[in-house]
Amino acid sequence: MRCPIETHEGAGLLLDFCTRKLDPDTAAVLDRHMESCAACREFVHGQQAVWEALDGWEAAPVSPDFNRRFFRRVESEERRGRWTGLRPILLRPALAVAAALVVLIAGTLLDQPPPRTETAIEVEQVVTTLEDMDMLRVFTL
Amino acid sequence: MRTIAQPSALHGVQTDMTAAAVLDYDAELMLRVKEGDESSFALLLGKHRAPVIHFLYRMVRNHAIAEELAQEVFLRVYRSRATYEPTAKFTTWLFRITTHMALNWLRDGKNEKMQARPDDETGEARAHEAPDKRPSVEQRLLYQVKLDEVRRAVSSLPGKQRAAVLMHKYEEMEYSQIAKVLGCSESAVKSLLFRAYETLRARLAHMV
Amino acid sequence: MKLRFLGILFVAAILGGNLYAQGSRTRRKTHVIDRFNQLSPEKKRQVLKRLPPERKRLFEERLERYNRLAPEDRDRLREHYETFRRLPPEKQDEARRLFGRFQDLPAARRNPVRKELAKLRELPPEERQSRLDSEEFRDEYSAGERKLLKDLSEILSRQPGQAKPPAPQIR
Repeated sequence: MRCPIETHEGAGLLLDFCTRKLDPDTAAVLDRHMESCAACREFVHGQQAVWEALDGWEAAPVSPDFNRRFFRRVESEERRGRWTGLRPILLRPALAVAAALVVLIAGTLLDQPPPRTETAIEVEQVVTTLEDMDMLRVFTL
Repeated sequence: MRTIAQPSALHGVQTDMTAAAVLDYDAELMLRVKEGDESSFALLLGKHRAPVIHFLYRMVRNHAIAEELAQEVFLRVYRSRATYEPTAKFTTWLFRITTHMALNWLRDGKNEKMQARPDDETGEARAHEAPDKRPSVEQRLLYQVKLDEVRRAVSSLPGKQRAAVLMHKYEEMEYSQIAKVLGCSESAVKSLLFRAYETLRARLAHMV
Repeated sequence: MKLRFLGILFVAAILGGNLYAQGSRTRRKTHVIDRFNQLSPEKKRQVLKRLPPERKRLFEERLERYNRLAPEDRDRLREHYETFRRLPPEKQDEARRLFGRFQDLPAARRNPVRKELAKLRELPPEERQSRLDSEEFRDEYSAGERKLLKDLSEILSRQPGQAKPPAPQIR
């Protein structure tokens, strides 16, 4: 067998060997080769050390409000989009007062359906909460 | 239970556009988002936010910036919903955007980067402590030193090599997928990884 | 001139926004599922029509199970949920993933595993560990079940100082 370390392709095989991605037959061939090849043994040993070292680097958890912040951005983008569309109309004085009244009424009518994005969040919140509660019901009640 | 139809060979070219969606549940969710089902987007966000943020964090070494970039990634995905076509695996597309964002930040964000220092990551060592097996101060310091060495070694890699290693190691992506994300050939990815691991071995092999 | 109209709009938006926010604050005191239960059938239909059919069916099944719980059990479940919600997102995701593995167990194995988990959750860390290390435990459960029980009991166990919930009411 030609020493795999001599080519990038072959080194790819050694990498796969370290991550146990190789099929058993190829792994066995490499195993036999390494019994007599110090360079490959050293490569695999070093690679395993790197692998273990990288294992120790855990990323910090995601902030609990990540989704909330994201949907707020989506919402503000959509609102900005609506505002851009309304701008030519709002520049007319009479319509500006009417638009102001619409905003006031919309703000005070609490029972009105929430904007589209908020509905989506609400649905998702209800569904995921219920999924989690169903899981906890199985495990804790 | 959802049944996933297998693409038939008879359909040939006609199935090209939809094959990815048929085989990839995420692509199917994204197609639902395209049709106006926003709750499917929340599902995608819930499923992929952690890998995306973790990848970005390891790229830029600052958690706040990683989350900010991740917000931008998902915003781009959301904005593209109307024109979305499942021509590739969803995660390939997602990581293409993510990697692009990270590489751009590394390339262009020099000024801000000077101000945005790497996080004080000493908290990570604490995260490893089991309440009943509290490590000693020495053990903690040793662990911290090793971890710092790992982070420095990864940060010393050029952007593309770094991205390739992170996708290979932490996302467990195949060479072919990494190639699609980075827009290069599989052999170019193998070569990138070979060089990157060579550098890492030189810097980290003494650690075990 | 334009500024005056924008000014009117701004004041109106603030007034309207404040009133809306007050309303939202009042609404958020109620638990999200109960808030959903209080919606009119028409509004429920409106909210659920965004869900894909399979997800909607599962949601309705779960909601029915939740609504059938005795009030005391529902309160306990809400308490458990509040504790769960305070876990880091990664732990929450991990618990959901493990729940998927639990559901993949053969039907006959789910109940013994569930009961064992309930026991493990109640034990202090040292006793839990010795139970997990015991021969009896090894004999009773497969390697996969043992791993599942170990991981789940670590995530879902009561934290020190957390009060023990009252015993379930059987109806």
